[in-house]
Amino acid sequence: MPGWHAATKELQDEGTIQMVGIVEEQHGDRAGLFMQWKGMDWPILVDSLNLLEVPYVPITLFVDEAGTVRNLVSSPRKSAEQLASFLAAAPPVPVEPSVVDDPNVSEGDSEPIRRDQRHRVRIEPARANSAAAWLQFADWTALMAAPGNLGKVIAAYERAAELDVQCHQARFRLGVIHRLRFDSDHLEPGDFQRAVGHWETALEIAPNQYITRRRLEQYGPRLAKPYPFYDWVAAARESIIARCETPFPVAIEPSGAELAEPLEAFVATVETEGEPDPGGAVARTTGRIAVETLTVPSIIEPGGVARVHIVLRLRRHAGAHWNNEAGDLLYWVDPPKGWAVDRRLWSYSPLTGGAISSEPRRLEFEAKCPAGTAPGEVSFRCYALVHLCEDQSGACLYRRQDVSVTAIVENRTTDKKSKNQ
Amino acid sequence: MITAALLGAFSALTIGPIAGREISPLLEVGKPLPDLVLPTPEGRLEPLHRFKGRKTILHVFASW
Repeated sequence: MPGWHAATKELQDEGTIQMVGIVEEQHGDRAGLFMQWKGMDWPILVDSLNLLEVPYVPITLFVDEAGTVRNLVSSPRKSAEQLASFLAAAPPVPVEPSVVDDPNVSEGDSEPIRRDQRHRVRIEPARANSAAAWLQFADWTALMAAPGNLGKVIAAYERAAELDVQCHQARFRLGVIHRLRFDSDHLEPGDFQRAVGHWETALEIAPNQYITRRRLEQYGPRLAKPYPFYDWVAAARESIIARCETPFPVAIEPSGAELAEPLEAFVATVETEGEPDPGGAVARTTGRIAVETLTVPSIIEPGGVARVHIVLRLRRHAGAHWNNEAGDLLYWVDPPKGWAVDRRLWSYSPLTGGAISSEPRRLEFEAKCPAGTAPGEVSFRCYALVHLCEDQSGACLYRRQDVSVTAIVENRTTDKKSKNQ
Repeated sequence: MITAALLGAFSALTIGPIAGREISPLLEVGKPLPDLVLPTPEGRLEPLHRFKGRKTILHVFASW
């Protein structure tokens, strides 16, 4: 994209063209930081839900003065000639907006809506009761909904997915909304796991959808990653600050899998000693912490690798906060017999500064399932040693939070074949 | 002349996947842009049609 900026800078400056970016990422604000880093001042719009239904990025559209697409380009090799031809074209004769029957609301809806109104009306999806109508309703509601109201959006997308089991758009967007809620203060238990599950279903339906594939890779194991997704963020901030500018704010800081380098082979730790609380002597946290665990992918094939995500959140009624001055959080994992992990003991330093904090703490490791493992569930025994302070008494505590991670093993290829026979 | 200058500028760009007419059911050459409303990173909603009136290059991308 910076290449496009450099190639068209003069044309932008003289007003011949305007450049607009559309971001196909879960967290669009990160693209704001990227643009600032690269000195690009285009307006940008965020299409986390992939309403444009593009199968991959980058794609460049040449749009004339009337808003008509004149060319679609994904190979910059041909871009220069196409841009020159686009610039040379005369402006089109203005055309009145056409009145069309909207296929999305055709069933039971006798009133045609103008193309230019389609996304500005609030359609009553129950009238049409088609997947398309529910999808459209959900799309519109998603744009307008506050984080505390995402349950309605989820219900509408679920209805679309029920009415059309092949509707990969509904599945993908369900994943986006669940992950969005997971990142908010209004998260529901299982939101992240459901996001992964919906993205996996969407990809099964539409395997050539690389926007969906990238969402899974963003949180998946290093073996499956095409590149580190957000390793540029630290360098970008450093560069922006060096220019005496304030970096564009990012709501959810990239971490873990989002920063990890891809690997060509799984590297297991040989660590067997150093368990910090082998006898379980440290007192437990007694309900102060809510734990969410999941694996990506959600089903692990024998011989396969998964990234395990563990999120620790202080419960609202816990009356406690993290005590950052006392030390880092320590983490230990015991894999099931035969399984390898990339680390067993590690520490977590808070991303936010300050003596105390209450942010969710995200811990990740990778696990390799031994080949020949029988289908079923296996458990990882893990625990975190945390420093907490009670809000009212001010007492500072050192506590242990036990965590059990369940992984599902299934040979999907074999199972699918046997199901089809 | 413009073409030659632009060819030079674009030569440094990486090559993306090959485009086809199946790119998106909503994006077709000769047809209007879909009437979508999308948020800005700051959360303000903007219709795509806001950019009508000038030649526009819409670049659909990700920062990764």
